Amino acid sequence: MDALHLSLHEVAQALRARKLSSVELAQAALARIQATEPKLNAFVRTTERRALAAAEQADRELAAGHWRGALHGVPVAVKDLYDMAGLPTTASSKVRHDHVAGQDAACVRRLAQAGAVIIGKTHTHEFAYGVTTPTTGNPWDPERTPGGSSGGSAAAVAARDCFLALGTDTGGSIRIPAGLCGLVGLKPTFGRVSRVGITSLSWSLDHAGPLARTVADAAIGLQAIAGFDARDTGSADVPVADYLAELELGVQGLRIGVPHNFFFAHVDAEVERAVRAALADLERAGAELVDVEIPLDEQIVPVEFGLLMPEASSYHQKMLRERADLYGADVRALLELGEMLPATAYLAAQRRRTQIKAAWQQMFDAARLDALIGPAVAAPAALRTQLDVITWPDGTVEPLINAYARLEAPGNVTGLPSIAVPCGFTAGGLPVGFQALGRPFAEARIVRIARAYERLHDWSTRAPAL
Amino acid sequence: MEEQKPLTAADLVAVARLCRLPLADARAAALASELGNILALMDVLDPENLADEPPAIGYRAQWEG
Repeated sequence: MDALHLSLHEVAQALRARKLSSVELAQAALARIQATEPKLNAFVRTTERRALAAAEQADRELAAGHWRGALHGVPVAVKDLYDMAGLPTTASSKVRHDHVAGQDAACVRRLAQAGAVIIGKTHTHEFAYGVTTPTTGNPWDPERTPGGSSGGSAAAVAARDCFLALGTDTGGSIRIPAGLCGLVGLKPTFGRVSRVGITSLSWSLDHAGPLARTVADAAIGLQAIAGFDARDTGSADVPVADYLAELELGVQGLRIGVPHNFFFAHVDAEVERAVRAALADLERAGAELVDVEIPLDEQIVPVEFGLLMPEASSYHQKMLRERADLYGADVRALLELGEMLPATAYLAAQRRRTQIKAAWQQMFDAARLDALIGPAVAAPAALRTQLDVITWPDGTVEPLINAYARLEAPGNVTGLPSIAVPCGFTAGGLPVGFQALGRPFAEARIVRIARAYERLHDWSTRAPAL
Repeated sequence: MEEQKPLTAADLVAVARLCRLPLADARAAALASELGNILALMDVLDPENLADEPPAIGYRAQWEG
């Protein structure tokens, strides 16, 4: 079997047993990228020289009996918002054409310490400010969007270019592309992973996390990058759990919230069917499904945009005045609009966020929930020629950015962890997923629920025909 | 409360001037309805029930402690 089709967990065992060398694997991954890029354009650049040097070192260490863990010698990629020393961090923008990073982002450093081989930097929706990554095709249908903003990372992992990729999630930018590309995407609790060296979109909503093909692989990725970093003022000094510890414990006795509002309003019929079928599977596996009402549901999206837009415009304030013509039209417009929102709207959003967080905590406590499940994304991957709006069966027309980001906002506004998990395909062969949101820092619990579902189906082993 | 009228390009140019943000008339015209939509969305954040809710100061460790 082609080693690139193994899971990260499986290939790690092969590397450790020296049935495979890291250099061979990195070369295979780089060749695979060359083969898939004409259709996908997932990468801003490959980092061949650095990758092969890391792979050689990984092989030398393995030969000497030193195994750093599951990422040792494994090809991975990072979204081109993550700094890598000596390389541009383009954020997929012409604005950053002359930017060169002085040092590695904290996550890049942690990946390297775990022995990972970083083979390239992936495309993002420009500055992560969007949900479609227009540069890039979806491996399941290159005429369609991979989602965004971490669309290149998702396309690369789904295409078997690498085993894991890092993304960022400010309004769903890990979970949306995971959902649209049939992957597992893990947005951890706010503060769990350092954002040092990652180009910001919105300081109070930005999260970093992994995209992978299996639940275990995503957990391995999070394990490598999680931890306190005093340089990130949003970082939480909370002990890092063992994210694989509960992996195979199943869902017997766990309580899963099923919202009767918000998460299933204006959702594609095939998506809803697949998610409800997944819930039924989990119930049969022993979970207790609990009907819940999402509190303050009408406030969630306004709070998301009320925080995101002014923070993004603040970050870009200087560049917008110096290089406005270099931004894409959509991002430039959003940045200009963000400058014109009243400060009182931003403060109202901050104040509402406090209320929403408290209300969610109360919901989890009152219903004694381990997790809450809804669709990963409200609709499957749109055609790349139709990225402006979506028309729902009742005739409602919704901007695509809203339709894709709407169900993601709770995870960003509350900071609660959320994992997107594949749960089937549409009749047209497009991936569908659900997301499980958990309690603060309870990533191990949502990983456990995700794995309990994953082992009932073969979704994660299916590969797109490229 | 004063009736809310649709924003015009001239409104946006004036606001942009306050923000020290260069904004050509043509761009202002294109953005006017967008800003109106976003402000309407923000209306839901009506401060009526927020009297005693202080803003979160910064964003450090939302769930820590």
